[in-house]
Amino acid sequence: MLSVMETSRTHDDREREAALQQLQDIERAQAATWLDHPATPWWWAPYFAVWSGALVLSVGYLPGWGSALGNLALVAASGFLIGYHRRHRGTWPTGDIPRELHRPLWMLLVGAGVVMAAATAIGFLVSVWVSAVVTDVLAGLLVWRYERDYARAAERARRRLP
Amino acid sequence: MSAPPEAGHEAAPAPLADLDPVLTAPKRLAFMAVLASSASTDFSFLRRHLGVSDSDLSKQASALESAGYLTVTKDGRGRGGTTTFKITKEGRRAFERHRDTLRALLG
Repeated sequence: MLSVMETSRTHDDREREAALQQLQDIERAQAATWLDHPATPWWWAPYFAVWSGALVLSVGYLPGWGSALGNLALVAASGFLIGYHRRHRGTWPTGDIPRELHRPLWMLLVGAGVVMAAATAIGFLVSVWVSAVVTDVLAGLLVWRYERDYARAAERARRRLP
Repeated sequence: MSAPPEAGHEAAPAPLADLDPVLTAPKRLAFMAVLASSASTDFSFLRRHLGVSDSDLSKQASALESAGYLTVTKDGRGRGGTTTFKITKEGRRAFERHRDTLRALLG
């Protein structure tokens, strides 16, 4: 009888271990869309820098129809970037973000808000051209910093979820 | 009236029958976990993540497609072509049910 109970307990333990292993595999696989991808290319931050500066000029300097065309071109450039990003990574993550990545993502959002506020203030108080140059530099630095922080956070997440 | 559980035996965990037989294979479960957390994912990404050969990945994808758990889109032909997978509503439901059953097994 004892032997039967021991066998039963061992069987339950094995089931639990198998279930735990499968849940860990699921967690790792779900995080993979955020973590496992090739490094972004060298032109990534410069691209955002030029794009942001061009947006300031398009909105603040060009006349009505020129602004409309400029904005259209910038939207098309964004579309190209999204398409490239998707092909480059091979996936488009939508699920839960690994906790290690929360900080760099929030920093990017806050940083983008600060850059937009600075661009608007400088555009009104100084000139649109100065605003475009400052935005260009700040946006480039923001994206460069974000990419660096993201890569480090992703490395921590990969260590947690081997 | 059902018999009370014998002394020393805890209530039975969630029945194993609730586990989806299509998803009990680890590669297919990881395949579906990736798809469940992405809008779409391509063949190369999955092959890299699962560490399998092209033919093995195709086999797993066929099994999941036959179960109605994913859709396959092919763009272009030859070396430049890409194959993309997307989870279906039925696939998402099956994956979530399977995952919930695993969690229930842990109590």
